[in-house]
Amino acid sequence: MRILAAVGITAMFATGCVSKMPQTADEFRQMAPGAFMVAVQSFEVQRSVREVGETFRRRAPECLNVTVRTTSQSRTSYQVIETAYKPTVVTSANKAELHLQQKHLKGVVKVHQEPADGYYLFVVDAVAAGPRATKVQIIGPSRGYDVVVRAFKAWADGSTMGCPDMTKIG
Amino acid sequence: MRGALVWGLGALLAGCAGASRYADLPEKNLVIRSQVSGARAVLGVHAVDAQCKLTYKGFVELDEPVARVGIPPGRLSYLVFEFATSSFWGGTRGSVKRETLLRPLPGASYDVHVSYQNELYDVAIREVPAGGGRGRDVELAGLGACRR
Repeated sequence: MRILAAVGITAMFATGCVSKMPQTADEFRQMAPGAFMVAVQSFEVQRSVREVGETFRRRAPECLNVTVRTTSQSRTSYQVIETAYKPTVVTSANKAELHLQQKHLKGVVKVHQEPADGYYLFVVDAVAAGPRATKVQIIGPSRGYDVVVRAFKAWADGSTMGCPDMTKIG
Repeated sequence: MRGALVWGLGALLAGCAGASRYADLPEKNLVIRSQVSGARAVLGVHAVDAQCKLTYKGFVELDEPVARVGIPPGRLSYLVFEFATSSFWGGTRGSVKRETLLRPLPGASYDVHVSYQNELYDVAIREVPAGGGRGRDVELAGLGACRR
């Protein structure tokens, strides 16, 4: 399962006959919807976009700027995967964006040309929908990354500020 | 079952690292409230010298809802909160950490909230000055802040 998640980002674009991986967040927004194993979730929260953006700005570097090393062992195999994650938060008066990139440092073979900080894994867009309301859209893998999606949703609605345990990916 | 496995992993890790329990101080200035499920939570305590070099002082198991710990006031310490998990069927294990430098004020106490719930984890520290008062949230600062 963990291996599936590791190769999933490549697979979800490659199986759609896409010869090029998204190199920017904008390309990811355009190419990801409709791609294999990609989910687009939209919901509204009762917080201002400024509050949502502030939470992204505070939590993303603390929680997501990490390198995770996982080991999987069975009777017949032993595998080590080392993955670096890089969050980027962009805020303006009416919008907040959170991008998450993933770069495999060890244990996964690269198939496609990837951006310098790794494949785009998630793009989260929060757009003002009123003084105390924000529409949030999460684009990312449909499987294997539930803990990250839970954290994004919690940060957006303010229910908890916890960091996702990135070792649970996959 | 899962708890036992996590505990077993933790004990193994602690044993491998030659880790020892923290030799606590009589004055307990840290009150650590833990809400942890699905992981083993441990606090590692390090002393920090003037060159920002760490000396490991031991670990404290955070396996009770409340733990009281004494950290030397007026001196810089480095606290590492580690959450270790393991999955039996996948043979997979991992750990995540939140770390901070802390120089406790003499007489002050520190309310520390540690949580690992639903695979989301957090550590929050609030400083309460000697004699009470409103206190302030302590921003967690990594070892890089030691040289600043």
